[in-house]
Amino acid sequence: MTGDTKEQAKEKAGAAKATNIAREVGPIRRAYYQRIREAKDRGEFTAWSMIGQPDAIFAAFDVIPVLAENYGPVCAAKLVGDRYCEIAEAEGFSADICSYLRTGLGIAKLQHDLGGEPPDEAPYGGMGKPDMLIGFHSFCDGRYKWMQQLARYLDVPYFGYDLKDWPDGWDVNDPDLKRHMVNHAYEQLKRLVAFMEKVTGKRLDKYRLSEALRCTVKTSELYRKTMALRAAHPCPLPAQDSAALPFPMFVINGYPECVDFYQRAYDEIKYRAENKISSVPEEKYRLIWYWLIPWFYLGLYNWLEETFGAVTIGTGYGGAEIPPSEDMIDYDFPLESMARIMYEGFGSHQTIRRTSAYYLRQAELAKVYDVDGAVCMLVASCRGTTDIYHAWHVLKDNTEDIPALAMEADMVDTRTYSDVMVKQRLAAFIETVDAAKRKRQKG
Amino acid sequence: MSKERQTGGLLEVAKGLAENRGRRAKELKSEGRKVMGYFCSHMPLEILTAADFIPYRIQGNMEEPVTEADVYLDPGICPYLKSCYDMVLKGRYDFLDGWVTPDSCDSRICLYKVWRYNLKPAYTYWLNVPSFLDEECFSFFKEELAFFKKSIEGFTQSKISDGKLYEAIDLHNEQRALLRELYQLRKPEPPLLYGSEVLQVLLAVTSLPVKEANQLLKGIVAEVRERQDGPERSRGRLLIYGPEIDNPALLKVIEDCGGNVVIDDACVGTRFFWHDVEKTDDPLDGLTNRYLGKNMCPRTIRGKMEGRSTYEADLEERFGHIRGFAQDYDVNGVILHIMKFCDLHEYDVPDLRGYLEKKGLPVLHIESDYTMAAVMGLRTRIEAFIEMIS
Repeated sequence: MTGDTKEQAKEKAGAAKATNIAREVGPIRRAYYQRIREAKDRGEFTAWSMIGQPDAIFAAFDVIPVLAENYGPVCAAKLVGDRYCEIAEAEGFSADICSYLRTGLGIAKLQHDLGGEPPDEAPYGGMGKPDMLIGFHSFCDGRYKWMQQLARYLDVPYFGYDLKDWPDGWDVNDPDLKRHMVNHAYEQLKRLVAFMEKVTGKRLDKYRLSEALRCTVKTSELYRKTMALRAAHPCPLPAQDSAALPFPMFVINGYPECVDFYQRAYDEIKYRAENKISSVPEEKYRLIWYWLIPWFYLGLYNWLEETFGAVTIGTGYGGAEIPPSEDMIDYDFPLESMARIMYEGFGSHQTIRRTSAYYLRQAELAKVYDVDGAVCMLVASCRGTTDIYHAWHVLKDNTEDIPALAMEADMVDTRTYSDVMVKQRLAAFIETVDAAKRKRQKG
Repeated sequence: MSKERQTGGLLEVAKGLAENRGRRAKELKSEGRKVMGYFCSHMPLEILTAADFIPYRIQGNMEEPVTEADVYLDPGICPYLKSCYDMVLKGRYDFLDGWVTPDSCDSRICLYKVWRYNLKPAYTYWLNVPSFLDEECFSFFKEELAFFKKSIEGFTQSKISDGKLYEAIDLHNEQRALLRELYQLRKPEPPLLYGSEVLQVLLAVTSLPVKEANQLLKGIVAEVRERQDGPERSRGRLLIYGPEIDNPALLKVIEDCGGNVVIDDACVGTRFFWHDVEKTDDPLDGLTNRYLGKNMCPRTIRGKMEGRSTYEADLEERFGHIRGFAQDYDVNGVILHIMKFCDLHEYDVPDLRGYLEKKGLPVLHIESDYTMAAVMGLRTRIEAFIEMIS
């Protein structure tokens, strides 16, 4: 980060965690990456993909997902994200494309130059040697386009499937439209299953799939219930902890261990909420942080707490959604159930980000969490979240005097981050937040 | 410097229409016609024409600084779309009865919800377009077109018969054929048209009702065949590639530097007219095949999937048509004109550049932020490139 020495930057990269469950994620992560390194020796399959992949299908085939959106933050936290981004840029990829994907492309290029072996220098030994690349078109263009570019470096089968998010303005109760979208998702998932059968040599066990689906639904329910506890005063789960929490859901979803983890998470955070346990001695301000976070400096949230008594609630990975329920699963037809679930409930593909309804829900969350201010990063490399100003308009129209701040930064690439600038703006923002809070309190 | 061009004639009419694009649409609107704005070459114009709309391609304005849209759209959004919305906010598109868009890209999604939320237009429609080309995606897209047709019928309170659709297909295919005929006149050296003139014709045509546009095109083709004031021999016959190249300024800079764009792979270019719609038993089949299968935009994944081919074969499937254009039009250089924040084109740059250079085609990669300052700053690089290839 500009202005810091190497030691200062390293110190800032980590964050002091307030909860035990967040501290559990480190060992899970190390075990996961070890499993990736040893996958070939154990006859296991790995697939490079992106968050949002159909976890239950991966679990049913015991294919380990290796996610650019996860490895990018890992590299950012280890302060090596810039290096891999630069490698990708030297290949001709624009610095404006997603820094998670630039990290992945940089790793792939290095791996290619090493004859296919993951680079020793890479955190946790890299992303492994994939057996397949799986892309899908939902949430953002990079999710499916990236895989095509990886073919420059990786000679493995690439499969992409089409998954459409519900457009803004379509009637969510129209049965014909719902049938049209669900059927498309089902047919595309069938193609994915056929592809995985071919690559792994295994047939899909539909009862295994049903069980995995049940686990994912249960996990979603526990995760959302845990996030909802952040409405308590003081907030029992600050952003530096909630940033770590989704990790198991991304990489071991569909397994009972994942359900167990989120049950423990829910139990601990519920205890903290009921006993008013906070990450700060006195919670003076509550901020909501929308979407992307600076993975190379999660300590920023500690700084806000220590300097201003400001606790941050992060919504980047969930919190707005209303999860599907287990009674939506027909265990005899799990694939059809998956397709149906994709378009049920808020936060599913029926409303994910592409509709203004999603932003209305985010504005509602600001009230649910009783926040005093909203913060977001303006990330030039993320087209999927290039609607912060729209979110602010919706927030302004639907809440009472909650100040909002948008700051230029990136989630992986430290070259665009200025610690001095960010902290100055946050400090000034807290003054605005304070004034607005006093005004609201006066009525 | 490019030769001084004579004024007068239908090319001049096209120029006037391009420079004052909304004028004719507003005239027709005042006579009771309906105008439907649209984005992108994936939009099936035949459905709009069959519903008696004038399909009007929405463009931005590179020559006008964005002053209103910055409050609504983030810095990292496509600058072309931001300019379009800026025009909307300034009232330049008040004559539209509604607007429709296909599922082109992430920036378009953002614009769609921002425009709907803030301005509540009378009619909008989002057309899902699959990103892959498997058989089921074609079935899905056909049903999408059926839903779109139904929505338009609901808005106009009038059914679109198969007969009207076939009629519209004929008219748009006629337009495509005329444009291909016009493009043939760029093959000789020197070509009979400047690249900037062709772009002006395209901008004019996409602002007119299809019958009127076709009449204009017939006249232009005839006029150009006979013209004596065409370009001189150039030092560089160029192919230009990229999204939304909709201002002749860049092409004029190229011409001033002694080059000439003779062919393109661009949104306001071959992508929107190179392939016809086949007249099938169910007209929606022909539209599906054409608008999903034949539009060579990088948003659609072609090539190496499921391990079925090699990397080289993948590149050929994705970019072979560009090589074909370059050969047919005797191109000796390619300009990749990539819009800043256009992820779908930006991802393709390393592969495309490598492919073209291996085929012996020099490549100049330039990035645009959709401003005139960006264009003017390119002169030195373009001069050097043309010097190199000539």
